[in-house]
Amino acid sequence: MENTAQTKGSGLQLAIYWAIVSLPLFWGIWKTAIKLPALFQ
Amino acid sequence: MSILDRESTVAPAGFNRWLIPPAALAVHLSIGQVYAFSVFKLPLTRIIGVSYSVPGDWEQPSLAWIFSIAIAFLGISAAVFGKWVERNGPRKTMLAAACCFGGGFLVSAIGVFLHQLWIIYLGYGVIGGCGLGLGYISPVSTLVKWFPDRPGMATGMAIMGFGGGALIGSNLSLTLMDMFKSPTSTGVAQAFIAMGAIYFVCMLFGAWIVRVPAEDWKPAGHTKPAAPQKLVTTANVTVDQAWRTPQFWLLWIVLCFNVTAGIGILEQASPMIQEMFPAGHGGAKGVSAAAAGGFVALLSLFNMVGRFLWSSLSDFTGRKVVYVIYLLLGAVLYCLIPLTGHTGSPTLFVAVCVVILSMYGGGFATIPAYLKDLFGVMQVGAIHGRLLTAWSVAGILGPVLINYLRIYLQQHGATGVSLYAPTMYLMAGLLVIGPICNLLVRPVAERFHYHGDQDQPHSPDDHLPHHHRHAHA
Repeated sequence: MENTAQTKGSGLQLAIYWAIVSLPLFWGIWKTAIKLPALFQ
Repeated sequence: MSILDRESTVAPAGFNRWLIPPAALAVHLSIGQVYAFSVFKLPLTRIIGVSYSVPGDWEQPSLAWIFSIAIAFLGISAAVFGKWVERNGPRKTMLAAACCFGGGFLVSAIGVFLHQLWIIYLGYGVIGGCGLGLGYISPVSTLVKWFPDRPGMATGMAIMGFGGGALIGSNLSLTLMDMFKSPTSTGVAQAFIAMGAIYFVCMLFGAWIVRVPAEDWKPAGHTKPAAPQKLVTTANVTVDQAWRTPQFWLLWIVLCFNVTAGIGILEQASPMIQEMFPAGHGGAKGVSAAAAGGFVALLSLFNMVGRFLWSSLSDFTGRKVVYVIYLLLGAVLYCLIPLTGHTGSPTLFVAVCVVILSMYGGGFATIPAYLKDLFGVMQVGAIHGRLLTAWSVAGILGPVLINYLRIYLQQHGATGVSLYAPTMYLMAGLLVIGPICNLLVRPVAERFHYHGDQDQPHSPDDHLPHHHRHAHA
């Protein structure tokens, strides 16, 4: 089966799924990144 | 048919495959917390004394076993349950992983309340470790099947989540302990309960949204290359055959030594930068504990990013080339570390270490795609599970080598750079063995290929027509 029409996952569904996993990751990256200035002082 | 069965998770025609990486990330971002377990070590030594350790409180060496047991059971469970994972599909596996990982935290909380260390060994170490193993391999094998055109990028995405999970886990643990601590409690037990619940829900989300592709699915516009790369097979090899091949064991050694060497930096990052660049060294003011904390944070970031970037690069260069880079460039950089100490340049030292850590992460992330190239997609999850025993061995070998060598050098009066230089040269030596094994990897001999009339494979492809098994790998 050639899956040429990858359209069933709506844009909204994609945005919600990716936001759910990205936001905690960005929070972790931000909390880690704020420790970096100490390295360069 | 249960909603947990593999058949219930087969995606309908037209399903968007970009909905799958969030499922993999939900699991890997959760189980990656294991890398941040060390933040609990100090509070766990003060369960009775609360503000400081008192007689009867646990000691750090006993607590170090919690992490070691968890990593050992990650490898063991991935190896033992790999075939079960392939047979039952990702949803049931992710649910089992969520129950084990979340449940492990709850059992550990009981261990803290009762102040019984063996209950934490059992909870976080054994039960949680099984959750790690099941959670690690299931999304990886699912993504390889969804992205046959970009397996390196796909596995890099999932395994990047494992690196990112440490960044979330360390900060979440500290936030929760801070929230629950009181004059009579360190807040560890309550934090364990909260984290068990949070991670259970997150992993359940992954189990809920995960799908597997239909048997005859392939991405739009994806055609088998007319002249495939030499190592990329067009056949499949079962897990029981795979580990009888020299290729499996060559990659086992490559992974084991790459991980052992990476642990050489990770294990001693904070004391190493402080002791190699002390105050007064070349007139400098030295590296403070806070700066060392920043250094560890930077290593975590590069460990995470390297997983995605290097693994994605391997889709273009081929796996063999990228492993030669990891191992040979890694060996050169390890040899440079003592030199950076002698020159008194922390900046150069940091630059070398972050590249090493990015390749350490890349080594983890690229291995499933390498396995897919060599053994086909049919049982790649189970084969990956068996290969992860290399991680368990490295998890013990690395710290043992490093700590014993360090104690020996200290006893002989070594300080500063000379306290670390032999360890770095030892790690470089291990990395030099890696490329030799990597270069010996050849395509898997045809006698190991699955033809449908040997070992009963436990995979959804069992019922595929014979010609198809060879065509879609």
